[in-house]
Amino acid sequence: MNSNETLLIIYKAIDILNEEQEEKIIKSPETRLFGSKGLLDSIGLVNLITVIEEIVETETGHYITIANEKAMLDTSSPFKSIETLNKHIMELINENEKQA
Amino acid sequence: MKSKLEPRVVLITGTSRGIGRYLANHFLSKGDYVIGCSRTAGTISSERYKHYSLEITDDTSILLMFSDIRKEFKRLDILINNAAINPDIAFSVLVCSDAIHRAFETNIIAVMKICKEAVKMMVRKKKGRIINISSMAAKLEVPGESVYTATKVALNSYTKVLAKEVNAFGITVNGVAPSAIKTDLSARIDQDALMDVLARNAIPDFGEMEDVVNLIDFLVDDRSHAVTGQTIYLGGV
Repeated sequence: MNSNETLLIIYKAIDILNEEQEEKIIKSPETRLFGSKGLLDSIGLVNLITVIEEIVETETGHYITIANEKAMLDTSSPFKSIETLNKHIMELINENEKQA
Repeated sequence: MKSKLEPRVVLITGTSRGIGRYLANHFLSKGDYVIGCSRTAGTISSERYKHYSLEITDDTSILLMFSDIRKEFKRLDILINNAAINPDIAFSVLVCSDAIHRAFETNIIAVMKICKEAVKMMVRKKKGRIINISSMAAKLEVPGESVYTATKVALNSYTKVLAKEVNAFGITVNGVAPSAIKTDLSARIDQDALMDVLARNAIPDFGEMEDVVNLIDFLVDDRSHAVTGQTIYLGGV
């Protein structure tokens, strides 16, 4: 899976969340998600991760755990922006595909 | 939870015997779907019961079970973390380190991992009930039960914190600490010593399964949405 395909998955998740909330998440790789100047609080991040995991499983058949050890240990958090999250998700899906 | 006409999807760990098995049969008798798991083969026969023989400390087995639940049931309404072990009843200096690890892995670490997956399923539905089966040992602090007690105290703290984290998603998390009930687990304890411990309670006798069921029915009820982060002791501990 390439980064454009995983980015589309993230955008689909954002569409779902934007329908449910007043403060919209802008669909751009530069959008800061979590942490300093991030749009999301912990609850918002849980919501986003949950929806993304659901879409990944539905569309690819792979179940990924986005909040995994790598994400927690990474000094540069994958949850910082859409771009960093996209890279992290792409790696997870590709690792999963290799193992399958 | 769902109206009485709509069956709920209930996951209970440790359903091969004792409280877990009793609870599974209780929810089945109400028309709900029950998913159970244990290290051994399933002992419940029902069209609405699905059993997973697995080791709850094994991450992959847990993830596969949840993947199945998502595919087959699409949702999870109630999670009851019941599976627990008490591997070495002895004074702390005599307990082997393997027993300490096994107790913590089963009684608290596995619960955390299962809750993580369950919460993710409940978040999107904006509703869910999580019950962690605790123990009177957490309050009575009985000599010889240091490891088991420590795991249950940890479970009580985890229950409180998780309740705060998931309240925004309509999920409640509570602990149920039964008085000693006649199960395989309690049968392993010296019965005279157990009666001495029970004598410290307002009700100085064994509890009944039905007491546990009654409390859990209350906690999973829709109307109990404001009851969360509590560990409720039965028997007047």
